[in-house]
Amino acid sequence: MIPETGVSATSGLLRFYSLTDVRRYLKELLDTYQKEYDKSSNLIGSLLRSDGGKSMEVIMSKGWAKVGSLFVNMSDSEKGSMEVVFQIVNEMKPRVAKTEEVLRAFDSVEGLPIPDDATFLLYLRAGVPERLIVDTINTKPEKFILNGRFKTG
Amino acid sequence: MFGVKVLVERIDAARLSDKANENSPSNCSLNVSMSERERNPEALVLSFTLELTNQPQLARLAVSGIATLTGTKEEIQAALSAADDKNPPLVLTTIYERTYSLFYLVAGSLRVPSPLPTLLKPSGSEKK
Repeated sequence: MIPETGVSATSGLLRFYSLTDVRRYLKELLDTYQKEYDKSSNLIGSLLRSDGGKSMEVIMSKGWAKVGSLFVNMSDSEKGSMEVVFQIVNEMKPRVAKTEEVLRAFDSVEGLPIPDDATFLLYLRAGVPERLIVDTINTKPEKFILNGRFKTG
Repeated sequence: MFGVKVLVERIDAARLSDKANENSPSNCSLNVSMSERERNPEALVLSFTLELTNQPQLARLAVSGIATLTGTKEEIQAALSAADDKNPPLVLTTIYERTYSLFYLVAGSLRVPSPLPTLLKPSGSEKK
């Protein structure tokens, strides 16, 4: 499923064959987070402006009911959605900041003495890059080259 | 899911004999050159050149391009390996199948014999 608002925040290990690929991935990740953050922030901003700056009350729904451990909103879908979007924006702020920080300091990672055939495992926790494992056991496959001649009849 | 996308970037062809026609007896050879351009755990991009020649020399046809293999690390590795020394790897068979129509059309236009659609009798394939 593709999220309507927000991004899928992956937790897990991703393998890469080069630091260039890790850097490219982090840039794409940051780009996705920033776009979504801007989109959601604009949505909230325009709602607050259109309502004459009545502060946060305009995006707080009173239609929530707790069903089991889940909050369900059956009477106020518009405000309910906005409230959730606002929560998403708040959750995305540190995610954007942390990813930016990782990318800013990535030159230092690239400067480490890493064997040429090493692969890399990037640990993402709720979408935030937290750890990088340099794997010298599961190394890159040998570069593929084939030269040959085949008779085709 | 494993897949191979083939993009042809260049076609070169030349008729080398005035007397050749579609039925001229000849043996075709396919010279293959493939090399890795980019790789990550889910995809491999290869440059390839397939050059078709005949003995006696009737024409020269060459097709170059890139092939992108997508799938798991194991599926990609399996596509690069031949079952034995006498068979080409799956990736080569796939590229040849996907470009065969070009070879067929160009050979027909040059009025020289078309190659067979299947790769046969590998002679001296050398994997580096």
